[in-house]
Amino acid sequence: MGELGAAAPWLNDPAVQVGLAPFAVSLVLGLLVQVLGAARVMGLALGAGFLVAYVLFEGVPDFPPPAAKQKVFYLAAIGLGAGLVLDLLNRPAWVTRGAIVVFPLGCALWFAWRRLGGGADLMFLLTLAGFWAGAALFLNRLARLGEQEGLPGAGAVLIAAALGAAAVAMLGNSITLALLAGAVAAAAGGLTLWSYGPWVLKGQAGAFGATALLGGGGALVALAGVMALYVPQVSKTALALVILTSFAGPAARQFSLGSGPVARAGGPVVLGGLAAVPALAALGLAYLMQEL
Amino acid sequence: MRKTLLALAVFGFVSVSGERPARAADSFAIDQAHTNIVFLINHLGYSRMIGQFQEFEGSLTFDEANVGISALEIAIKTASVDTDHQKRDDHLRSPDFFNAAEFPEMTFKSTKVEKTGANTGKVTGDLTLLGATKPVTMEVTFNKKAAHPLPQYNGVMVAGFSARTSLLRSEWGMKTFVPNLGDEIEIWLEVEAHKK
Repeated sequence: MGELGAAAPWLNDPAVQVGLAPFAVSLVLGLLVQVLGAARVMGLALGAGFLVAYVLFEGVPDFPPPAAKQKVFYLAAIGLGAGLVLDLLNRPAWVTRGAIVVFPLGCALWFAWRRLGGGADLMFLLTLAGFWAGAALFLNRLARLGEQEGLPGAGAVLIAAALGAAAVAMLGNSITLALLAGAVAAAAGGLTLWSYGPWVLKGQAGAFGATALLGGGGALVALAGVMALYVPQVSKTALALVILTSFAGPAARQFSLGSGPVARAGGPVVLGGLAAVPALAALGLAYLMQEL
Repeated sequence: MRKTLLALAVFGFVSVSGERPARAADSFAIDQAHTNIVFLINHLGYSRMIGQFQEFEGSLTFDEANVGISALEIAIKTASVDTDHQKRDDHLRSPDFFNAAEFPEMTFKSTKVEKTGANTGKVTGDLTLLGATKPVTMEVTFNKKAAHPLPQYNGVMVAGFSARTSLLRSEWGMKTFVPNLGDEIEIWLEVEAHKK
């Protein structure tokens, strides 16, 4: 923070850095993007909100970044940029599906290249493979949610997943990663709140496209990778439970809400509530693992 | 015999002229049992929290007569951080601070040793922490060099030093809770080293 923090001491408050700031940036940018008629890149607000929170909380990391936590900033920026390009170019769906596999693979290799070069043990390799598969699965499910349930629904699920990951990190003794995961939730909250009104009234609220998926979901995935690979006290099982938040879509279809504004108003709430179940289970498991 | 005479002649010349033949500095291994690597950090302005590292290894070369050729190398296991509080130590090992799983070691390697007084000096070197390498200068006091007095040490030559320095942890990327948790870290080294 340095000079900025000295000029405005309230900016040194973590609640502002990873809570209020990403929420506000996402809300305001969401409004701007909507006004500018670029609804297909609404996710820009989400990714930008996270990046602002990272800079306020950790500063801009050196480049090349030596530590995995610092790489998260650049991975989130790359995810946001790649998502923007894909959305602006009206990419075919298979390109996004490819990015869903390639992005976590890139995260895994960048996080692990030093260990891989120095002779990584089997457990590390298994964790690495598990992270890749889990992250790709999560992003794939989140992309489907965005397509089927719209921006508010996918946003609500991302909030639940980010809060679940934050709780697991907090109980695993990594407060920084927990707060950064909280920043993803706050940024998703700003965008979701902004998009909720138009969604309820008109049934359209901008797209949860590749920008939101790789810029916001990608940031969360990268944070989860650091937790899984470099924080031994983070419960990997609890972290895996967080992936189940992205299966809220099929579960929500069991509750037939019909159509119309009331149904649309309830949809994201039901999705968020269902996604909160595995997030809370992850929290409980992480707590139990900590106590054992 | 001729060689011995020649050697004596050379030695005699050197002694008379007041010069000494160049010799290598003595090599020492750091004695873990009698060395402490301690740090102090401001805790929210209330106090300075004290911690230390329990596992490290290192070596030094030291020549009292020619301090400039002395050198120091230390490798510290970051997971051995110890503040006498298990939960806090677990947190210090996390990516918030020492990131021990990703960076198991921090190292210091001297690049320059200068004499500043009868028994004081400055040791400048590269500190590698969290994957970043930056220079650090320590103020060093040479305390004593003598054979160990206890019989079980078999008269091994021991050198003792005290070193002090401070650094800004954020310069190595350790920014968590700065400035609420102090950015400046004071470091004390109390070192005993056995001649190899």
